[in-house]
Amino acid sequence: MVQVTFDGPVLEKPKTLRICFRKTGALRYISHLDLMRTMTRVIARVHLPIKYTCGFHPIPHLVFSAPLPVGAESPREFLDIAVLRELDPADVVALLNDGLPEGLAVEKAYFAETKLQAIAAAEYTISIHTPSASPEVAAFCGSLLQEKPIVVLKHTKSGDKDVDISPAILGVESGFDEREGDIVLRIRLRADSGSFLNPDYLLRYLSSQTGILQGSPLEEWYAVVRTHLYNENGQDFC
Amino acid sequence: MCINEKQMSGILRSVEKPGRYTGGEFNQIIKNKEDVRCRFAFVFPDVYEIGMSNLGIRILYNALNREPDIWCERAYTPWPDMQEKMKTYGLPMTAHESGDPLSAFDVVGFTLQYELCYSNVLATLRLAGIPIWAKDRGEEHPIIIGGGPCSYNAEPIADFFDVFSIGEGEEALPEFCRLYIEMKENGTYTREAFLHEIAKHEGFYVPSLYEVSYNEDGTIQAFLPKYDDIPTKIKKRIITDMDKAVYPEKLVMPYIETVHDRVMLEVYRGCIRGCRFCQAGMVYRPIREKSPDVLNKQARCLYENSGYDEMSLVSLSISDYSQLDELTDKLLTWTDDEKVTLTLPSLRVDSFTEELMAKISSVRTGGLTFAPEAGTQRLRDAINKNVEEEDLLRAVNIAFSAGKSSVKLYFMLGLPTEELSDLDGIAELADKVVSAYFKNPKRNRAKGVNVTISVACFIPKPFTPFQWEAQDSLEELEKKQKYLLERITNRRVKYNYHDARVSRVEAVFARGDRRLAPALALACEEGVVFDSWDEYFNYDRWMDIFSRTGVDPAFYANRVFGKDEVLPWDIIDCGVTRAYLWRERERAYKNETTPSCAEHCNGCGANCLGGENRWCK
Repeated sequence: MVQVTFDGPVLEKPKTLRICFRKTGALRYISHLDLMRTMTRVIARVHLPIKYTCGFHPIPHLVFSAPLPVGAESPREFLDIAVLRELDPADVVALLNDGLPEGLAVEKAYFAETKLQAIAAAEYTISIHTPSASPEVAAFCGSLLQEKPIVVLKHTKSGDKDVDISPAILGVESGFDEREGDIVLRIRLRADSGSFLNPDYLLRYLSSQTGILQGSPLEEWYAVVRTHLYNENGQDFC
Repeated sequence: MCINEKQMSGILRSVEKPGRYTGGEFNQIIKNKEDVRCRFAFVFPDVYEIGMSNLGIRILYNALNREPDIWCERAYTPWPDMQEKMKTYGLPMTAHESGDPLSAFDVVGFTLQYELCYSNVLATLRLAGIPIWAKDRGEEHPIIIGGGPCSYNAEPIADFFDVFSIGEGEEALPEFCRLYIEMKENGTYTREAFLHEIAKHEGFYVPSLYEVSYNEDGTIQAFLPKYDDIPTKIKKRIITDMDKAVYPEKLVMPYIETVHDRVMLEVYRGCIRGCRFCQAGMVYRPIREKSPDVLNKQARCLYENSGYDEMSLVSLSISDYSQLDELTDKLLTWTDDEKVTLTLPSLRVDSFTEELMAKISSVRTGGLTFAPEAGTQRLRDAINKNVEEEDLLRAVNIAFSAGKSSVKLYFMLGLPTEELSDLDGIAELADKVVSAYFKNPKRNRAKGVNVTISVACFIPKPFTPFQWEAQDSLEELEKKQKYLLERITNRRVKYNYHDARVSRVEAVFARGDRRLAPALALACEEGVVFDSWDEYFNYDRWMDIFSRTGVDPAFYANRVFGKDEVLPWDIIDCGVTRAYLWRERERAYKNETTPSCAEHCNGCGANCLGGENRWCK
């Protein structure tokens, strides 16, 4: 077990420590709220000297990158915390990994210059396994997602309504995985807080337009991986 | 059928809260199968979020897993949407840690927390491909063991279980597994030989070893052991020294939100009060406390290993803990710094003080809950609640002065000796609490007062002074609920009441006997599950099942049992004597109260079980 005590000098101003972690395996089935609770507790367990919210019932101040849909995996998610003392990020990585399951392992931690709000776009790889898959069907799916408008029933705060999601689709590439027989779509979606689009809407749209993913889960399945988060210049966010 | 991970992903994505099924929680215990000689699947027969909140399972999971060669895993009844998928795709019922099918375990244990989980027990066995009737199980099947509060009258489900563990399980369950391992390894094991042998150990009830005969009027004539070397009564097991009892240092941490998602610190067992309707207050006797030092150490350890920001002090009546001040003072030396809030459920109005309020007032706003149980002093005396109206008003005033503005009051309806004037008393008491708020000069003026009265239906329970009483008929209960509704005119008072039909079915099973088994088997056949959930409970279907299996529900729920009648739970010795219970019943009819154990030993009999016995004579 890793033993570290965070007793470095108190900082004049709290510094933002960025924690890069993955969300994979069985952990992809927990929701964003579940993830927040899990992180809150591991941070309390390792006694990280971080800023808490003010008020009657203080909780650690955590900022996460855009939520992942339940069931989607990601090799790199971001969590920002405000630390109150001088510390070595490598110690934080070691301690957190000691208290986190494999599926949420921390890759690195560093003092961040940027803000998570600078995340502008996300790239997803969607693999669809369906008996009718072929390079032609894959190309057709790709072209469907490049049409305008793409109207889906969207769940919003003011109720469900029909929304054109095509402005949030920044790029679509389609391909066919010969070995698995899967349709593979690489999709870039807006991910800034105002117009974040959940890739599940695209899958639902494809399903309604083509009839795929409507059968038994034993014959048809899909996987979603968020491969990249980009800043507004199209560079990998870090 | 073999399902790959990608196929499973589609199934998981199509059900509500897939996190219920994926496991992999922090602090779960994984063992190398090669090193394990007994595999135990501990099933909580309700949904994951409920099961993960149970303290008993946390304790027993640890008690079993500290034995290197025993591996205890957890399992929960899948929600109906998942059950549907399991049936469609032929998925087996599996344990959380290993993902291995329940049918491959040595032992499958069920904790029986409430009668309405019986349908889930059978549904879970069925999903696991294990025959539901004990007599149909062979050498290839796991031993099915039950325990928990409902095992004090396990008769309605006796034919489905191989054995019950009666009383506290921390020592009994490892002992059970030890015998299993020993007999397996020395070649003497057969299902029958093992059950015969375990039945000789204290606290184990093997129903198949007893013959039950009935009188012509339908009452029980006798329980007869089939062999001479089997006890005629099964004595409950207890832990005598709570300070030395095993307690989990690590908690399995759920990812998805559960009902009680916090540190639960068990402060003591038993209860000094003796409310005459309360089963827990009788069957968990004698009272055994933990010392503040031990509790503080355990609390700190549990916090360090969990990171929970809330800690609940658990017991039947926390303000009766003799060293509560010392304990809370010790805890507060570090909980504030670590931003851990203390919660004290089960507060009694007569021991609720300003000091106590100050200690918990750092907790988030939210109301306080008290349980006067009855609306008039006469009836509170009859049920031995030993709470005065002025205690309640004093307690709510402390809360109001501290800025609280909502109070929840629990009552029961249909109690023995109840009259309509007692129901009027409930409405009047709620009004008095509302006016106490407006008279309180220190009240929080920004908010209006909220008084919620939550009214349950009385259910006669085994091993209580009211075990012989009849439940009011369904019509009477519903009439009384409506009567009370009309009495509540204050718009500051919110009135909740339980579905009387649910309480009636619960009453049938609470005082039921083995002749209810065919009804449960038929219910399982017809897919009845999750009876404790409003959305699945169906009264008419239960009445139909009872009538098709020749069960008269009124015989169990609405009949006054005879003073000398053999009761279905007479096979169990819970320490408290029948003579004491009858004495208490008689006092109820004279509206006489009985002092708490702290004031006076009333000779209930539980001291024969041993234990610290601070107050017992």
